[in-house]
Amino acid sequence: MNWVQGLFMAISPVSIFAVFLGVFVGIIIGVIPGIGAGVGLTLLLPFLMNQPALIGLALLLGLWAADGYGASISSILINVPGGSGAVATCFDGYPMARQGKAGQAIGLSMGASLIGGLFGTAVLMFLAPPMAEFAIKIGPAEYTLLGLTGLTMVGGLSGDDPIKGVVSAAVGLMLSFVGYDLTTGFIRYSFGQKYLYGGIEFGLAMIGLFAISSLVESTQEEEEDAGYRVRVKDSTIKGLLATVKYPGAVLRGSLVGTVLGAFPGIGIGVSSMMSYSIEQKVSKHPETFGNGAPEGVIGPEAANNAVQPAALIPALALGIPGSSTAAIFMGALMMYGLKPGMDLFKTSSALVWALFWSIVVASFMYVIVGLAFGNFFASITGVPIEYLIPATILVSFVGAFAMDGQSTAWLVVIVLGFIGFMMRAHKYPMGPAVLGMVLGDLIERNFNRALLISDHSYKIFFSGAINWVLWIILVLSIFGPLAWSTVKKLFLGGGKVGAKPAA
Amino acid sequence: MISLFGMGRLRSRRIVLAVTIIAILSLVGFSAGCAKKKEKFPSKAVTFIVPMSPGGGVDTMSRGIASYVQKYLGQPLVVENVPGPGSVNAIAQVMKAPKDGYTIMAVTTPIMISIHLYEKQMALAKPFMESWKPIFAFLTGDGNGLAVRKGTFKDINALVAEAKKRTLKVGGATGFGSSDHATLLQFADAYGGSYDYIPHGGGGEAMASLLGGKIDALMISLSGDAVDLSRVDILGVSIADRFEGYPNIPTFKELGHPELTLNWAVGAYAPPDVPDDVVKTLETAFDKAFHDPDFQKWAKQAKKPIGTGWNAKQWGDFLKGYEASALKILPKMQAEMQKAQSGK
Repeated sequence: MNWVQGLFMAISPVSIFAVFLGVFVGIIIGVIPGIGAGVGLTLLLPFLMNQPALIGLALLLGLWAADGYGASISSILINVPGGSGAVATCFDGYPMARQGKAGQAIGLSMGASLIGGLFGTAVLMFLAPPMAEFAIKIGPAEYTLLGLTGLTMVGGLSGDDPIKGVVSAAVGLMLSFVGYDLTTGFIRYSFGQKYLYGGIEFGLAMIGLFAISSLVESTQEEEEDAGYRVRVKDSTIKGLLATVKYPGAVLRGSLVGTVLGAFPGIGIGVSSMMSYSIEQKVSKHPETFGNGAPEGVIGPEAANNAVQPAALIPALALGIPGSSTAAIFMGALMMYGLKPGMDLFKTSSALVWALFWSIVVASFMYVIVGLAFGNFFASITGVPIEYLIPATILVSFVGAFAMDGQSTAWLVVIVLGFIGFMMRAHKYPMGPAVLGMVLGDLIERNFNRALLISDHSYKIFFSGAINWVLWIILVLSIFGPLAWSTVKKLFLGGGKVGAKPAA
Repeated sequence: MISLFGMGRLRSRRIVLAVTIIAILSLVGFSAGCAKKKEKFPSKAVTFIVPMSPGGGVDTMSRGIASYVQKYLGQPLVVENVPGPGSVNAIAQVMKAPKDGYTIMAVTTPIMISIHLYEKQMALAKPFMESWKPIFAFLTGDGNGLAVRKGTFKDINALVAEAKKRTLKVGGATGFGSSDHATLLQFADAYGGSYDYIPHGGGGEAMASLLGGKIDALMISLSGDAVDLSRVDILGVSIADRFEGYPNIPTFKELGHPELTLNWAVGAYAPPDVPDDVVKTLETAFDKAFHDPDFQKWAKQAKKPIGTGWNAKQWGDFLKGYEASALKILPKMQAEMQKAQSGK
């Protein structure tokens, strides 16, 4: 029984210690905006070369898994996303923190991360080969339609002014088009600035457009609001236990993260934003989103932690890394003489099982570490916001610099911060801008590539069953609500529906 | 903030600590200032600017050798990532720093294409060939391989025969002007047939396109991608001699096209005006690091086709030769780019 043997390998003291080290570093790297698991793996890899394979790989997996959880902490506490996957967590996590529920928010994020991570790992353990085969059937045409379906979520994120939502989404789309266009070699909207040739990185844009703008906005608050000391009401453990009260959100988030994470062309930012949008769409109280809805933390957190094991599915089964982090991890596998490929699953040696179990161990480990420090972290919200602002701005700018090592990044952050502030001041919702930015790149790149492959024939978007399914979902998500209310009126009798008191 | 956590009594101790730290920092600053006076190079850490994000093939190679170079340099060689297309941001960063040899850069061969293809944007890099100083090339045995799904084409001749009937869609890991694109154009020149280049946002995405049957073939580099040979056949690779890591992959040279020997190389370069003796010191350190048995062992383990390594002269000459061959396919490249931009 290789899986039992693997389990015992994974829970040997040395292996657990390696995972612990990884988790510890991973949480710290996650909390710091601007550096993510990719940087952590790159820096640690040289030191692990002479370690046994299990020790080295378990440490890396621990780091990678904990990074996703750690990133949510800065999102919740200071509204600065700790990583690309944690932007959506800001939307409701930070309002929760301002209401004194930082402990609960961190706890919910922990619980959702744990279940998302375990769900993804279970799929990696048992369904990886068929999932991988399915993932490569998704080509440029399918990605285009998937992205367009995602864009239809803008309506839900727009609040009560759909026009402002569309404008906000357009800002996001435009930002995603800046720089070198891969499929034509054309450089757009660079204003002759070398720095912009490479485009604006998503994480960097979020620091400016989202975080800086909200910091500036908070100075506009009434005097007593700014100095108001939030009383931290609850603890992380309560939040952790409260996760089970939202089984739907946890499951949907895990599912979205696992499925989208297994597609090599989709990043962690898309997965968590899609999960947030879906949570809002299915919620009975969509108006609570943005004001501290627990589901708004749970959905994206379950999703972004399911992405990690899911990204290993194409990486391990086919040798296709879905992200740069997955590529670095594959490099580490090869360094230890493990060859990615279906054989890895067919033979499924004890070592491979031990690696899978290490992710499980890591998931529980960051909950334990998180519980130990969670309340301490949450107590930061007890500091009046006016004392936090200078440090938060500093952290944002250091994070921006860390992202690509160029001080020009600050200029981008300042300009986008100004745009974001103007948008906030005029009550534009920020969600659509974030969604537009993550999806713009996905849609554009794949649309162009699909047309290059099909010799500019649009038939490629209508070939194959997957495309047709996506078209149906796309049409339903645009016209569905309208059609449904019409059907209700015509056949079920408008009077009956109206007669029921609103729930 | 400290007192807020009820640790006010620790404050005086913290102040002492802070003063000590400041004192130490200023001492360090002072000694760095002194080092400017004529001292033997290197007296402080050397920055090695890598024009790619952390984790890619070039970055892994550069970090791989950096840890051994510092052993022979006597000072740390600190890798700093400055990503951006065509290395242009990295070049700007190097040009900003003092030209004293403490800031050097990793250069990859496609730079010789982009300085011509993107003449306006790359204006800063234009004097590269004339005035920059080669140091050492530490990845010299890599090239581009043409991969197909297992069983779709028997050999290179079957693929070319098909390409004469219809236009084959051949993917690459990056955009126009990359080594993938250049090798494809040169391949088309040598073998004939008609091919469309399909750019991708990374080796993983490109490989998914190939395995999913969206494209006919794919240009890959042996060092950049972890190749799973159970699903693909590599019909040929543009290196001079077979790579021992993949002994079953034939070279284009042995298939009868020696002109398709286009190594894809990575090496170190110093900006203009760096004194020659400093460049020599760096070259010696890189050379020794390259031949360090531990580095060789690392490369073998990580399956990096590092080749034999090239000294400053060989590395400079190679890039000159590469530029000459790139200029030959440049008009074709520009035409293809224009075609893609106009959408027809």
